[in-house]
Parts: sequence; structure tokens; C-alpha cells
Amino acid sequence: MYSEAQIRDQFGNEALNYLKNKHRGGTNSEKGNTYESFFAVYQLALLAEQVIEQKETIYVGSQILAFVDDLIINHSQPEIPLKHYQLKNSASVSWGKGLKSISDDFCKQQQLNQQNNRQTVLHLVVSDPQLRSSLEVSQPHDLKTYSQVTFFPYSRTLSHVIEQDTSFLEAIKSLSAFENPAPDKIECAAKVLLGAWVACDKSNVSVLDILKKAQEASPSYIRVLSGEWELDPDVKQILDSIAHFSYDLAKGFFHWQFGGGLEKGTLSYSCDTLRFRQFESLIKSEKPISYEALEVFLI
Amino acid sequence: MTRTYSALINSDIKVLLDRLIDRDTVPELYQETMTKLGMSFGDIILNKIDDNSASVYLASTVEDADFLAKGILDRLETQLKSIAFACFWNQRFSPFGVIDLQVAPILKKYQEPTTPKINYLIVVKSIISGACVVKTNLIELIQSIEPELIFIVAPVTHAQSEEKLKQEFDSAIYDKFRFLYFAQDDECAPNGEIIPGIGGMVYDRLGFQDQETKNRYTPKVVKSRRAKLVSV
Repeated sequence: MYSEAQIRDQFGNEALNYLKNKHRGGTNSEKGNTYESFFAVYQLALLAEQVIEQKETIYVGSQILAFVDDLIINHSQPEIPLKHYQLKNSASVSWGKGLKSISDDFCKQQQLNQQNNRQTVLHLVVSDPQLRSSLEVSQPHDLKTYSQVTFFPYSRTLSHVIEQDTSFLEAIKSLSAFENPAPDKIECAAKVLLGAWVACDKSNVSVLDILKKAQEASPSYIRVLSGEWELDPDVKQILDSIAHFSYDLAKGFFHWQFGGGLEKGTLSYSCDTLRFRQFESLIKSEKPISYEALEVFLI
Repeated sequence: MTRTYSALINSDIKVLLDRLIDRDTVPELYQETMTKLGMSFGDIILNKIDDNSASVYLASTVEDADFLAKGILDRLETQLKSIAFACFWNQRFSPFGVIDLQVAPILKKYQEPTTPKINYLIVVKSIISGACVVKTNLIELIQSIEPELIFIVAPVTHAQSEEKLKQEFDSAIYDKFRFLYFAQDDECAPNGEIIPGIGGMVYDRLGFQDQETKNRYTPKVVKSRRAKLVSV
């Protein structure tokens, strides 16, 4: 997004060296359970709806050569402002002054984007609501037009963070392969998305590519992103004849239950995969006539 | 490598634990040993339940259902009138190999109906290390049932597993936990295997080849119990 030459020309060698060191520090610590990763998954889950339903192309990046680089959201439409996030999971955070301070980073990032003819919104994200309030009060006047302080909760586990933020929970539910996902299915979809994010090249990757990568996990329990699903009519006939057995293909996964819910499950792969075609072929070739004969295939 | 024994240990149980560690123990004997350990736990739990009309819910993973859980179930059924059973088929994995991420979604579950409020929930597992599977299944269970006490039962646990499990729950839940184990180890191999633990990976030792094989298995205890509830 930004070249070394551009940064050197605009801010000098000292600023460039600082950014290169900062970037190196970021890329050396790729772990899943971090405040930065949890926030990235939150944003990815929120953006998923725009990408899936409205077919928007949105790119995300992190730890790139930039002054505010914990997360950058870049819509393909240049009229939509670039969003940069600086995350601080600490009890004491201040705007500061001079090189390496948050206020200087924000100021330089704004100037850099201005030079690239992009509008900017910069977020300082903190995990303490009281700290957010105090940082709003102490925010330097010249930053107020293009930056804001945001609260995002932190907990040791992703599941606990999701519990604390209703919008996060709703976004993951919307991505889930279930109409009303149980806690383990919410955790699965969120952690698979987190794993896909941590494992990907974060220089400038599309949200859709991360979602598709996440779906490669088995199970991902992330809903199929598009299309209608119908069962092979022969398979349908076989399954419909099995006593006490019912099923549906909601959100692109095969959900089933037996005995009024005494036993239930969901295939670990979605209906648009080769494995599902193989499942249908097995049902057609084996023609189970009872649940006991069928259950071995329901994994 | 340090192994400590709990107050529940006796010489017979120690022999059983040593048999699990012994790599020469064949799957059939390993299964039988797990069943015997389950029976020992069953007797211990019966001593803690003074009312034979108490409502008890026993939950197990698929790999433990016919052995460790069956041992417990057989002993409990000698005295208790109301025992319901649940079995979970979990798929445990680290998404995209990210080491500090673990998830164990339930692919399939067998869950007998019960009243929402029960006296005792027993969650049994052959070994508890990171507690990911126990956590997942316990959260699922308490969506629909409200136990007064929760026994977390395993022949062998890792020294930090109690703390890890507690961290996943509010105090309203973890205050109900009662951990029952015979031995506790403090060493964990890079692949997650507890040393000496139960002598390796439980799927393999019990005779299941791998995770996929155990997830295709329907325990005999599930087949026999569901046959009484619905015709297959």
C-alpha cells in the first residue's frame, strides 16, 4: 500500500527506520489468542455480510509498512474512507508527543493517505471503557476530525469476547451453518475464521478469500456463501423412508435428527463439496433401510 | 515427570493404571482395564450419593462410552433409580495448525431426555489435559439441564487441567465442580500427549485407528439404551 520511497520522501529516514522496526516486531508474533487477532475476527465477521450479500470487495491488511497498522480495512470503492486501527490492550495508554507516539503515528498516517487521495478514519481501540473515556477527553484537537477512540473487550478466550459483545455474537451467528447455533458451533466458526486470519498473508487480502479459506477447515460450520442446495431425488427417497429420521439442508449443511432429537448431528462438510457428492453416492449404493444402517454414514 | 496419586487410589487401582501405561497391553485388555476403572469410579460416586432416588446424568465421549462410562453406569444402576445418559462425537483440531487454537465441535450427539433440574451431572473422560472436549460437552449439557453438582471424572488428569477448565466457566458453574481422578501427571509431550498419562493416545490404545474411525463408531451402550426409547 505504501512504498518505502514514499515514506522516506514525506517523513525522512528516521520515520522510515522506525516503521520498518515496528513492522518487524509485529510479524514475529503470529499467535491466535491475541487482542489484535480477536479484533480482526470481529471486523471480518462484521464485513462478511457486506461481502456475501452486497458482493462488495473489501481488503484487509495488518502489520504492513504503515503508521497505524494493527488492522487496515480498504474498500475497493476509493470514495469509502480507509479505516486504520491501532489496538492497545493495556491499562495505561496516552496519545503522547513526537516520533513513536500514537498522536504522531495518527498524524503521519493521515498525511500519507491524503497524499494518496484517500479519506481516512483512524481508530484507537482499547479494552477498558474508562480508558476510552479518558482518551477521548485528552485527544489532541487536530486529530479529532479524522480519528476516534473505540472500546473492544478483551478476554483470555475468543468465546468469552464474543459473549461480551452482542454485535460480534450476531455476526458469527449470521455466518454459522445453523439457524440457531449451539455454543460449540459458534466457537467453531469463530475459531476457524481466526485460524484462517492468522494463517493468511496479511499484506492485503480480500475478506472473501479469508472466508473461503476458513471454509476449508473440516468442520468449519461456516455457512455456504451462495447458491441453493437440493438433495439428489434418489437419496431423498431413501432417507425419507427411514423411520424416525428427519433432516434439512439449511445454510448449505446436512442437519439430521433421529428419534425426535434423541440423536442429532450435522455433517462436517457442506453440500457444495465433493465429500457431499460422495455421501450421496454411498447412500444410493448402500440403500440403508433403517437408522442403524444409515448412521455409519452420518459423519 | 512427576505423577501424584489422589486419596482415591488403592493398590488394585494402581495396578490398573500401570496396565494402561504398559505399551504391551493389547486393545481388548486396555478396554477391560478402562471398564474396571469405571467400576471403581462408580463405587466412589455411589458413596457420595446418599439418596437412591437422586437424578443422575452421565455424559461421555464416544470412545469412552463402552468402557470407562459403561463401568460407571453398571455400578450406578445397581443402586440408583434415575440415570440418563449422553454420548458426544467430537472432532478435535487446531484450525490451520495454529498451535494456541483448539476446538472440539460436536459432530453428533446422543442425549436422553431428562427433567431440566437434576441432582448430579457426571462428565467422564479417559484423560483430561487441555480440557477442550470436556469444556465443549459440559457447555452443551448445561444449555438444557441444571445440575446441583458436577462430577468431572477421569482416571488421569494433567496438573493444570482443573484450572484450565475452571477458567472457562463462571463461578456459579465451577463452584459445582467436584474433580475425581486417581493420578495426576505434570508432563506434556509436544503432541499434547500426557506422560505417562494413559500410555499414549486413547483412540489408538482402545483399538480405534484414529479420530475419524472413532467417530464412525456407535457404542453398544448407545444402541442398547436407544432401543428402549425408540425403535430403530
